[in-house]
Amino acid sequence: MRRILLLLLFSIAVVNVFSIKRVVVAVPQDPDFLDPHRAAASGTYEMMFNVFEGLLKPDSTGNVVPAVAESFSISSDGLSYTFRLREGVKFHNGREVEMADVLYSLNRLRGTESEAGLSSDFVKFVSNIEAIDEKTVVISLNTLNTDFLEKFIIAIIPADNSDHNLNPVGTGPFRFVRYQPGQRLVIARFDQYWNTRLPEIDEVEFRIIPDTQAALMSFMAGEVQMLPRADAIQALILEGRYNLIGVEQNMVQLMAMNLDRTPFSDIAVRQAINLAIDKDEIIDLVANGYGTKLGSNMSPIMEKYYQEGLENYYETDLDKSKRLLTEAGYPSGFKTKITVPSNYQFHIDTAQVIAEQLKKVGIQADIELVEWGVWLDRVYARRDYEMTIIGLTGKLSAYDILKRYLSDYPRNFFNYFNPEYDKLVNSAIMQTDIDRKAELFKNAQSVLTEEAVAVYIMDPNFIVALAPDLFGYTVYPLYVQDMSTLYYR
Amino acid sequence: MYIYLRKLAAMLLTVFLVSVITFVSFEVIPGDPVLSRLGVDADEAQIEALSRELGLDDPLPVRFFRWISGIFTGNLGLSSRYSRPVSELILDRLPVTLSLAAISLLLIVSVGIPLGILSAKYGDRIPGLSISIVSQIGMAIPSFWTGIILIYVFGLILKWFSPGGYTPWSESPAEAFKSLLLPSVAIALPSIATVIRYTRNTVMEQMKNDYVRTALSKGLKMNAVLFRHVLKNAIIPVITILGMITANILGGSIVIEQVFTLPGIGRLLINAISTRDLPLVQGMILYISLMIVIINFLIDIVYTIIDPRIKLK
Repeated sequence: MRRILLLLLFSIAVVNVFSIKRVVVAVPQDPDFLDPHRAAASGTYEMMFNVFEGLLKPDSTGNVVPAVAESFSISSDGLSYTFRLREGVKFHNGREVEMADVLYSLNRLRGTESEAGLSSDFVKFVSNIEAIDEKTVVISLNTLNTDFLEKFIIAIIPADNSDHNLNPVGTGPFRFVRYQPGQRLVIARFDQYWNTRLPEIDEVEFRIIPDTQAALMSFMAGEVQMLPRADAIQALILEGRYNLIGVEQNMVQLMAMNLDRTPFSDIAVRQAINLAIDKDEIIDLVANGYGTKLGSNMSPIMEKYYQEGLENYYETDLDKSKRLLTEAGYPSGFKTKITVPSNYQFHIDTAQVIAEQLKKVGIQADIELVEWGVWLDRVYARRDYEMTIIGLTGKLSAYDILKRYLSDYPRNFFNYFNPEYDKLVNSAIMQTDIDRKAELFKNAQSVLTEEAVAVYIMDPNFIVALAPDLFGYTVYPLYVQDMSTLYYR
Repeated sequence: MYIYLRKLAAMLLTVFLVSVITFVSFEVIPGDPVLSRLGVDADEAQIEALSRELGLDDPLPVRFFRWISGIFTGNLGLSSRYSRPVSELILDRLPVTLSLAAISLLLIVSVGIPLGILSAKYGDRIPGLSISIVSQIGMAIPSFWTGIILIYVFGLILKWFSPGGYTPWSESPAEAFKSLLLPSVAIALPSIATVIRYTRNTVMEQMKNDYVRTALSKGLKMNAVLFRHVLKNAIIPVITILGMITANILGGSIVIEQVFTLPGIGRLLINAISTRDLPLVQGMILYISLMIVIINFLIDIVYTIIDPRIKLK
């Protein structure tokens, strides 16, 4: 009798396991905020992309397509955006999206009399938000910004949710189920999703595994079905047995040189450093070839705005590098320090290769490892460093990528101040002509390269490893994991 | 009674001093809870909103007083990294750490003490020597390495359990035990070695005493002498060591939890420190201090049970 009962229990368990299509994804860190307007970290967006949608949402080609809005139009002067809401879009709590929710969300970003806005772009550019009727909303800008359209991918959330961070509610293909700090974030398919093409996966668990080795072992043991960011060595281990997808991730890995400090304030020194560094060697040694060489602060995945040819602007030339150093007054090189966040092995490895390469022109660079929290505070916020290596994640908008170098950007940790550059970037977003706009953005990239503001190293390709029976991975030029297109076969 | 009050006062003073030191050191070391949470992509508006929420603009004494007064109402405050009550975060992790401690302690006691006695019994003969050599190796191998080897052998080759998959007791006790057994072994191994050595030494020490000779000469068997008379006297220092080991495990086996991806106290502490989550760190220090005090207290009681001559002073 007991045996039969056990067998029965076992079969129920088996049926349960197989009837629910589940994917476990290994992620390295906790989300910062589940509230989409307060979240800043790319690691959060990568997960919650599946839960939230804005009036628009990004597609896999880097364009924006209507989501909560059904259609949109931009006035001829480019100053006002009109969105028409889609019929029958429902929040995860089952309630239909109303104009009040849209106004609430946009006002929360722009700020009201009583509350400060949560997006400085909305605060800076939006002059008016107005509902024309139940289904139409018009957003007016005070100054022309032709990159503003991409801002509307920010989430529309219900006005009556008492705690957006504890219980996030959106309109995306997956609904939030639970979050256990340091352990997991679980989302499940939302059956009333407006798009009839529902996801095939029932449930996704983002499991927080900070240790990359532990993540690899969990993946190989089948406990985890998707490893979104395998490194080059892990890829070697996994090759042949699993589905591996390597793609440009729209990230710019760079070595910044503090322009406020000698000798980096001297352009000749910065150029000399650029000439001494062999990026191909770094890509080979550090990324095992899984990297795309860069020449400026833009990845080729940003097709429209990418300035070609800059990646070879500084062809490795030790003689020329030494000559420039001599002219600058450093015939026998100098001593400096590369500060690297200790939690990014990739950047540490890069620093080691660069330190070796710089030795050849007499520059002795010591590597200083600091905790991530210290890096953010000391290097990024207080700009107390000489050289540092970091990866900057890409955005849909070229302006958002290039604005880091603007003189008035609060986190311009390069200490780069160039009115000519500011003019190029600021006038680019005033262009309604797309070709002219692209040209200005491209010129801005050239300026960064010519002035050798940093050493632009590579776009490290991220290698997605999928369980052998998992397919349908969609690549985005953004830091997201779209779980809605995955399926088992 | 007076003794307990004095102990309680000493404990309160210790915790107070430790938290003052933590507060001050968090002030001195670089790092900022807001930046640590939001990262390089943070918008100025978001940074301002979070800074306001965390009340970081208040001067240090004000913040410290707020925290201290919170404790007396049972409120440890909100974690700056997770925006959740500190007590909830700690309680959530407690089952894992307590289970790890229980299982590994069981292993340590049931393997370490008998082997130690055995090793002492055979002294410098082959069995005794081999146990002591093996235990020396056991002490030398770091537990994270043992952990990785265990995962590799039992997880990837034999596939007896799945690494990285922790199942809570409430979901399936069998699965929970499976996911906790190997980490417990990894934690226990070096401690087993320590306990073997301690037991061996103290037992051998006791064996030299006159009462052992008397017992043997009145015709008692060696084993009877060992377990009935020697062990009672030899066990006191071993218990002290066991207490220290327990306190260590309960304070979080940081490395093992990281290697086995277990959501225990250790990983929470590491996270809290690296994200400059002062409320959470303070809460955890309170928890760890409490644990140590309680364990010391329990050990004192155990002493008096084993040896009634010992009085709490």
